Amino acid sequence: MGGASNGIISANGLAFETAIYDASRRGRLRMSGEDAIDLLDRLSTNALSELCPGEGMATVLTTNKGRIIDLLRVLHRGDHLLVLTSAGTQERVIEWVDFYTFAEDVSVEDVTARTAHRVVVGGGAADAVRAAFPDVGDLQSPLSHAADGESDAVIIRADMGERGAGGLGAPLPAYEIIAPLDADIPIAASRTLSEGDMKALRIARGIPSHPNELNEDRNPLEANLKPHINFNKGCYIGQEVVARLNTYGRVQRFLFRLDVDGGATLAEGAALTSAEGGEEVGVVTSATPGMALAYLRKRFVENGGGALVGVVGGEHRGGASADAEDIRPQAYFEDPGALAR
Amino acid sequence: MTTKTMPAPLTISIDQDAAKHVQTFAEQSGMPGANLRVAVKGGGCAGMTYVLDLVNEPREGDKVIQEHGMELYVDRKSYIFLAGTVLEYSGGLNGKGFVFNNPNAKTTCGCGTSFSV
Repeated sequence: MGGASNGIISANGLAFETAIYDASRRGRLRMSGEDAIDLLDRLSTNALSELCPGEGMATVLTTNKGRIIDLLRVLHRGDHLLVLTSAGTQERVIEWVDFYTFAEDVSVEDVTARTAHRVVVGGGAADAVRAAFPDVGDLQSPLSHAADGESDAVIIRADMGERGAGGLGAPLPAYEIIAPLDADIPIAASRTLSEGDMKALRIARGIPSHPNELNEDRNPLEANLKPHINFNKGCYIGQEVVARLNTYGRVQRFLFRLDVDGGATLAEGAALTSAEGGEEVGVVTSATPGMALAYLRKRFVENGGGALVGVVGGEHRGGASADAEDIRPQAYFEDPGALAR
Repeated sequence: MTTKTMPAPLTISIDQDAAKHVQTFAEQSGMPGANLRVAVKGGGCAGMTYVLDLVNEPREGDKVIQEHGMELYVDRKSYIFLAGTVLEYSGGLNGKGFVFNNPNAKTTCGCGTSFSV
């Protein structure tokens, strides 16, 4: 794991442990009505119309310019959809869906305030979830889910880094639990993850987040969300732009994980320049001690990449340049050859 | 004395050729005398997609427009995005079929079936 200095994400961090994280600040929407799947399918990048009850799918809600509104995870609960949004984006998602609802039979309810959301992560996550919810069977595929009859909780298989990205190791086992506020969630965890711990974990796994990496200035291809785009499904809002960017290789930058061996925390939002030519080649979007996510220009990486100079911020001296030799980009997407196209 | 010219009210209209084609399609579909629902739905590359449907009755709350011996039914939300539209028919080998000349459309997608406002 490169220069990671945080114990949570160190070499074998969490491999044999069970940690729990309170993700309740993320958004949760209940969509119902017979046109709900069809409408979301027309508004986002993945083939939601193929979803069956018990299955889930990640999909990107995009503007007509192909920019990211949010990365949604849509769970087919049989008589309704449970839609998981990023923290604080649920109102924007509801407004967007409402705007594009004409004669469809669709209703959207924000259930964020009356539900709890926990993430159980680590090598012991499966055993801990099985012990807490013995009636819920094995959940094999990504975003498969089932309800616990007693507590009304929905348990979701949601491994972190499930795209199997090269260079970042195998996905980290994880489950998510959505439950009524007063429900008992009897998970035996060996530690509780703070916001900072979870941020470090997602940076280590190369997972982009709203608003740092996912926002209306970015398209899904540069944010490495290609696995959540179905290029055969037909029209959705922004499809023409996204398809053109992909077909003609017009994506100009990609998201990378950076390793900073000195353990410094890079300043988020600060530019990165190449150590060799001094040219501005990217911007840091999320940082934790020793690691960061950054958008880097495709041209820089195609020309061999190399060391970067960045600004140290966070817990370290603001405004100082990190050692040029210390910042190294690591491609994390599944198909590094995509850069050459 | 000054005379004030009032602008024509924004409505949705269909030209005679398009109306004739609607009637022909209605007969071929076993719905002679059917009328036309004109609507918009979310989706399509640009954001909104045009919808045409042969129907016999309006729905509650629909705007009803009579022209060339037929009726157009438009729901209120779709009407906001279609006001001023003229529905035409482009025939022949290179024709596009029904064409929406919509003054509200800022951009259209490559195939012309979706638009943004």
